[in-house]
Amino acid sequence: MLGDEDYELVCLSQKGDVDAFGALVERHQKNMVNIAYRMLGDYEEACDVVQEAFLSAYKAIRKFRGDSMFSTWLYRIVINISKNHMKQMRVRLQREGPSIDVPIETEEGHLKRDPPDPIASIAEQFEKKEIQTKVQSCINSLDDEYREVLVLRDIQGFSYDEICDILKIPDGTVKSRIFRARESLKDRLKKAFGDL
Amino acid sequence: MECNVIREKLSAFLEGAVSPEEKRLIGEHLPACQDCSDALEDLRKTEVLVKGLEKVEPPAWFKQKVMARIRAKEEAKKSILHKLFYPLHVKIPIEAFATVLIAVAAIYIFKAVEPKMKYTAPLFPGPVALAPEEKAIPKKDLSPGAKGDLARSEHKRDKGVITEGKKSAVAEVKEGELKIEPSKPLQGESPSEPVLAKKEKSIEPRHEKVAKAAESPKPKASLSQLPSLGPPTKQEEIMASKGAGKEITWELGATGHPVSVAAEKKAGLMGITIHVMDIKMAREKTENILGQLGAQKIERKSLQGTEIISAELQAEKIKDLFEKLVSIGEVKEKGAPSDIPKGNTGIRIEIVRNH
Repeated sequence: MLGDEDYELVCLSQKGDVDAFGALVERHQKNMVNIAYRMLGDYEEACDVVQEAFLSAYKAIRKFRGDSMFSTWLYRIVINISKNHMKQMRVRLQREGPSIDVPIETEEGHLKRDPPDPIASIAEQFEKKEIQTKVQSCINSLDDEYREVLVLRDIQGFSYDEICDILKIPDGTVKSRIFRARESLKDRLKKAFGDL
Repeated sequence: MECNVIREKLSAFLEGAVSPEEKRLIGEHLPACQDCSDALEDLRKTEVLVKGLEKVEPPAWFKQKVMARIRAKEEAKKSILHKLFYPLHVKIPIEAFATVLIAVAAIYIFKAVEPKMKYTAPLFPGPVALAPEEKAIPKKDLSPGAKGDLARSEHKRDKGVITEGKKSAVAEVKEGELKIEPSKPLQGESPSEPVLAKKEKSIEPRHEKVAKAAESPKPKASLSQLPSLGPPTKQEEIMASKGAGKEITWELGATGHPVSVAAEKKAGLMGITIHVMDIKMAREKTENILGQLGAQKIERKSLQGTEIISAELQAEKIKDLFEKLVSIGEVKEKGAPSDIPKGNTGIRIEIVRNH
């Protein structure tokens, strides 16, 4: 845990200092929410998942031995909870059928059922948002194992070593998954946008 | 390099994560292959689109909500711990102190009760036998060793093995001494074989034997065992002895509890059992009769549906006692009146419900 900027706060939290853990929440909440959001594609759900992740982290913080960076440990928790959440969502969808919020697939890609946000009436904003929605929809359609490496590498910018630590998979596996994830995403984006 | 190999490396090539050799080969291949060039271009655009995804901000309330949930859980956990252990540093010493206190109290209570238990059991008083012998021994004849033994015996009695009443009862048996064979030889012999008393010239060995008999657990037989003794099969033989007076030895049946009966005899204690329908009334009548006959030290005890009255009565009045007791119920005696020594005699009357 040497060189970990979270070291002191983690030690205090392990002794039961709730405020110290609050400081850690403050420090990592943005990354956590972004990881969860890009994994799930839904902001509200992402916030719920990150709350769960922080609660789990607080419960288990005494078991944290400092074998990796605290942030790595924390992101591993949020990735795992997000994956579990996605599995539950899929099971629910299979049982109940698609909800009105779930994007529907068309020949041109994924579309949201929601009507356009009235605030984004400006053409540029609308276009940008539309592009981001499409990209996120394409990410959402990736397999879990490709989605997580893509989010961690290309969206969050973690190094290969960090991704190996977070996902606990070998370096070669990370590289091959990233290659396949990008290839797969490229194909889906081409399909969604017509031409890149 | 084949196109498919090149395309596998394009992702890493974009990140600069290929070896210089691979970088050179890819660089040479791309201008010559339009498909691979297009693939690289698509990958670049994909990267741009992905990296162009905006970062989202967590809601303003996010940290507060997380911390509120954590604090709520912490409070719940604390309240459970509070109930169980708080305040830890005070409660454990209190518990330890309470445990020690209970242990000490239990030991004291046990010690306080123990003499009573001893007192109740010797209603069949093996050890009482000591008294007449000791009292009968002229002090001038006592050797220093015998004095020592006697002193030890007195000490045992002081511990509550013998009641005061019994002591005084046997004190008056001056004319002779009772002697009982120790239980060990009896156990080894055939029940029908008579055990003969042997004269003891020296006091000390006799005293030791009696002491052994006193220590033997058999005289401590419970009261409830006595009625089951059945008809006495014992045979007594009284032999005249020099100086110290009479020695009495008992032959005892195999079915009974020989030592307890013998101990009763040697103590000058007379056992009478009355079978009645109304125990309470019989008890009152018996007490009245004892009072009329001038009995002393009348003591009464209840034990498992049996009333036990012990008293001291002049030997001459024992016949009268029997005659009067017959009017109360069916009387069974455990010692013939002729066996009773002169003077005051201890009497133990058991009043048992007639089934």
